[in-house]
Formats: sequence, C-alpha cells, structure tokens
Amino acid sequence: MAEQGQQWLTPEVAVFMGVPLFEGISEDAIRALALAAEEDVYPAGQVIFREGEHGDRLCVIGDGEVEVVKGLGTEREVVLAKLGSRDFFGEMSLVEGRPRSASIRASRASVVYTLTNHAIGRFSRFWPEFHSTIIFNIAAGLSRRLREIDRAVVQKG
Amino acid sequence: MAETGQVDAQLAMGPLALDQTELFAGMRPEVLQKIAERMAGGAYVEGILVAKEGTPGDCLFVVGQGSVEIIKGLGTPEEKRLSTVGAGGFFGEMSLIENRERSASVRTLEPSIIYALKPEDLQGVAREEPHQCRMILVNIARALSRRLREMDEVFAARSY
Repeated sequence: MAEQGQQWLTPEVAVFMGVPLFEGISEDAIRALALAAEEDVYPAGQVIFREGEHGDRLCVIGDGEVEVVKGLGTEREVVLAKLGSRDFFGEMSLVEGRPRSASIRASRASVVYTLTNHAIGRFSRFWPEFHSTIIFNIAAGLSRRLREIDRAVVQKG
Repeated sequence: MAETGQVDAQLAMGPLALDQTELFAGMRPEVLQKIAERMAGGAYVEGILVAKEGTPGDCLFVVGQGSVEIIKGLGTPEEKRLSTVGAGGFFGEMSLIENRERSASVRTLEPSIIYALKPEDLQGVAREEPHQCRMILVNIARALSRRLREMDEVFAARSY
C-alpha cells in the first residue's frame, strides 16, 4: 500500500504537503495546486524577482535557499531575510497588488514552484474554503516576519 | 484594561462608517450591521494602555475615533514607538492570527473610541457569509503586508 501511495506522490505534492502555506488544506486540494504549479530550477546567484517589478505569482521553495534583498546591486544593498526549503515568497505583491518590495536571489541552487495569480483565482472558485485557509496562512507568515523585523528594528535603536 | 465608558458601536460608528475602516473595507452594509451589533466599544482617555506586550491576545481592535501608538519595550531603556494607528485603522491582529502573545504594547495618544472584535463574534456571519468574511482575512493580510513593507524599509535605511 505504501509503495502504491508513493507512486502518486509527485515531487510537487510531496513538497506542498509539508508547506506551512498549505497547512489545513485537504490532499485533493493540494494535488490540484501541485498540478497548477510550475517548477523552475535556479542556479546559485540567480535573481528570481526584481524589486519594483510587477508581481503576479506566488512561489514555494522546494529544495533551496533564497535571500530577500533590498537595493540589489546598489551600495545600499541589504539582505532582509533568508528563506529555506518549504518557505514561500511573492505573497506581498499578491495581497497588496503592488510592485515587488524587494528582490529575491537564489543563494544556492534552488527548486522553486510557482503559482500564478490566475491559477490561484481558478483554485478559489473550486475550493473557496481552502482559498481562505491559504489567505490565513499568508497572514500568519506575514505576521511572523513582521514580528521578527520589528524586533530587529528595535535592536538597531 | 482601563476604560472610561462603554460605547454602542452602532451609535458611534454605524455600518457606513465601518465600511470606511481598513478591516471591513469592501464589505456589504447588511453584513457589517450584524458585525457591529456584536462588537464591544470602549471610550479611552489619553495615555491608556489598551494592550500590553507579552500578554495573551484574544481580540483585535478597530479605532473608531482618536489614535494609538504601538510601542515595543514599554517602560524599559529600549522603549521604542514602532508606529501609530489612527481612526479607521486596526491593531492586535498578530496575536490572533499567530495564536501568540502580544508583540507590542498599545497606548492611546488622545481621547479615543476603540472596538474589540473576537473571532467568535464572527462565527455566525462566517457561516452565512463566507465570502464576506474572507474579505476580513484579505484586509488583514494586506495591512500586515503594508506594515512589513514599511518596517523592511526602516530596517534597510538603518543598515548601511
């Protein structure tokens, strides 16, 4: 039985099952999201998003590590955060409808799964309650990062 | 929590005004009417602590009138004001979303009317109007994202 189950567990599904972004979502719905996702592999140093660009997709890191960078390539370049396997990024443009607030750079070779706004919109029509769950999980992720940056700002004085 | 008086949410801030708040933006008046009936309002004088860092938080707050300051390390040498929230804004959602203690203290800057909203206040509405209630979540996510963007900028400006 276990072997049979694993045949159906594509890499995307296996990753998505353990991602905080999709916590609380049924396996069926996770499979639907995995089918809609695109997989990309970025070499170390590659820029995935650029600050100021239009943002229309949400990304989940499979195996990899990326840096959230402000002022990329300028003398004021600052790394705001490092994200690892099963973290997500790109949600700020999604919820605010604004350009990317920072750049994302792969700090090592990284597998990234992408869901477009369009794919998420389609998912929401079929699974409205799980769409709400994703929004809740996005809010929880934002809240956690806000807590961290608030503390870092206070420490800087 | 020190209060100077109870306020009727519908009297001081009717459904139309609720529609002007960041938390309830885009929602239908009849749904807001139901929510307003459940919200408890309080009138506060200047300098009152509405939420205290490190304590459990079971509700979020909507500022009807006045304004508040969000402070980390209140009463310590590291005390620092992170931001202010004015009429129509909200605060206290982080504890609720993360199910954690309050990340900062909140104090009134002037005489203010503030409404508390508990998740259970929304249960009935959530059953009847799931799409409308999802807008509250979207509005919370949007506000968190905007604040994270602002704090990221403050952090970056102080880092080089």
